[in-house]
Amino acid sequence: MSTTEPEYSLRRRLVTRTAVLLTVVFLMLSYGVWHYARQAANYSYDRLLNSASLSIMEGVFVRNGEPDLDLPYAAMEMMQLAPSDKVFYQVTDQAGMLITGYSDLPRPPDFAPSEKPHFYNARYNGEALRLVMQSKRLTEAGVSGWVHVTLAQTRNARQELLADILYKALLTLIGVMLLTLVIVWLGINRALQPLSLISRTLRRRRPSDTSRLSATPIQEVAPLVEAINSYQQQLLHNLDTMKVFIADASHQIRTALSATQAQLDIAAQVADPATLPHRLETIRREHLRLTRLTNQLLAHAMVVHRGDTQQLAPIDIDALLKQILTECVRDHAHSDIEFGYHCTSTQTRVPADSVSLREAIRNLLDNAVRYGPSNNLISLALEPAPNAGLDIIVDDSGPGIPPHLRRQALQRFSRLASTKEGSGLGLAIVDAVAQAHGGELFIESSPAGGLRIRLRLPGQST
Amino acid sequence: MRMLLIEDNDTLADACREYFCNLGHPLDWAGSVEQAERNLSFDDFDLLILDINLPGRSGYQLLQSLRSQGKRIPVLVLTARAEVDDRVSALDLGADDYLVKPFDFRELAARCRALLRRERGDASNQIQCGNLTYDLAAQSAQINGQPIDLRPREIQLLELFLKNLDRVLTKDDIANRLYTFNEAYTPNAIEQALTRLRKQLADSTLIIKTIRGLGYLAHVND
Repeated sequence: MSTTEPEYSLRRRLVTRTAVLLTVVFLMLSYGVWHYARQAANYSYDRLLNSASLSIMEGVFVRNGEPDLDLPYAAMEMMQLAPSDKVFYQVTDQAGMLITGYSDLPRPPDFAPSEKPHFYNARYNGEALRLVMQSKRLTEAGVSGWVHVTLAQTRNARQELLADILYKALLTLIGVMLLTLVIVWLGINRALQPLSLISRTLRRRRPSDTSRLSATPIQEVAPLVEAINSYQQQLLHNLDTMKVFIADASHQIRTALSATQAQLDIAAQVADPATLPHRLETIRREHLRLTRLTNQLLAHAMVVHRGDTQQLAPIDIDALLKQILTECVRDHAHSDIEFGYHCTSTQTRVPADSVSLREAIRNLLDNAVRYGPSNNLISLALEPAPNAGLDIIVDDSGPGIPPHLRRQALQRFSRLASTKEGSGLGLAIVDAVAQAHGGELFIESSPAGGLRIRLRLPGQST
Repeated sequence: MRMLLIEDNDTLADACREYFCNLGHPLDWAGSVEQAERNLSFDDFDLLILDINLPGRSGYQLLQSLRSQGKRIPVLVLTARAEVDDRVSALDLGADDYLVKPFDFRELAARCRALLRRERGDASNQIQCGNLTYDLAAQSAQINGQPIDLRPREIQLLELFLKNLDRVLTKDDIANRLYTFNEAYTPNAIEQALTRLRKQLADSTLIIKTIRGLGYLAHVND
């Protein structure tokens, strides 16, 4: 598996994302808190302003047909509750004439007198003010109309209250946020702990340790442990196969070597020179066997290696078969073996690796020569197979292989007849080549009476 | 004929020298490309047997420099690697044949003879194939010095095979070379000529194999 994504830390990524999320939540909450704090501050100080203005309004009375004011002391006392703020007031009569106070206090826009207090904001002498206008309708003889009391206060106390509420709320929010981050951090660590544990266990393992990783009760981690275990089993299985192969191969090589060695030893101490040619012939035979075995072992390794690494490219199987057959005929021209070739397929190109395919077909032809009679009839054929594939068929007129031994024939180092010197690798090589091509190998009976080997190569589509 | 073996394994080289000496062919031996180049500079050889894996410069490099100098001397390459790619590249670089180690001495000798035969066939009027001698000018053949009786078609056929040793000739190939455009022929006629030719060559070392469905291949078994 290859990934183009750059490396990243799961922990850092989770923490960063949580932090971003928390910041967004924090900003939204902060706005809400600010809004609430402002409302709370306005609400309390507006009530104060309202009470004070009502109390001033109480002090308005009519004397001599003229409205007048007796400024109640309590009103001023009330305003003392906000000691840092300045207070301004204005009282006007029904004609709009000033009775007392600051004459130039800002008036509310679009004002219609009513019994309810009217709150508004304005600037006065460079200061932000909160104002309330209280109205009262006088209905006494000679004096009838609206009397207005305007009371104003600077906003310092309100701002202080707002800041105080905001500050405390934000502090709590930040605390909660940090706590959440810590919990997330701990949670991630806790969640990743099984992973670190697994990697630590794997790192500490000796190469010879073949035991499985112990199962985990954590449901989310169990599949990983399972996957590691099954991968390990697969590797161990491959290793076992390899060991068996090496053991078999060493056995074969050592046997041939010790036979040669023994014959050489005897030949060295032999008293009668007349027996030497016989001994030499034996040594030569053993040596030939060893040579063939070595060649086959290397061919097998080569074929398996190429099967793992080589890309298949479409090649003309017909031309390849003709070429191999020509070489084979040349090598056996002195014998009585007859060769034949038959191609019934019009489409002869399939994806293949020519090097390993050549090795496989050479092996099939060699096998046919080796195990067949001296007047063998060997024919090579190319036929169309299902799914646009091709069947490469090698027929001989030899003894064939009985059906119950055919499975065994494909296994490495299984020689069915001990009389002929074979390596026991020929069909194993062909089988490996068939597998590398995604094809199949069939052992059948030839119509001519001997053995038929069918090597099926899949077509272009697969 | 004189041959130069370029091989760094002493045991193998000694065995080769002895084997070819017994056959009556002197074999000179060089252990490295440098030494081989000295030998080649003051002696004439008919054939090179060249190992690829050598100390210092490789056999491929010698082959390349020989061919770039335009020397047409036949070269048989010995290689320990059985990979076909190796053989193909050897032939691409101008080798005339290759043999994979470990090899049979008889095989080596036969390949050498085949190469020399190819060379001689081009140069002289006589083609020598084992015990068969064919005279291109006189269009006559002898086995062990005894003339054999061949009809014109069979002579043509024999010459065609001798010029295409170890190659497959299809029936069409043969018909195209043996018969002119106007001549009517039947595949049967070719087979009859071939049967008689085979009978005449029964005592010779030239074998004409039939590959059913493909054609014919002539091989000298010496």
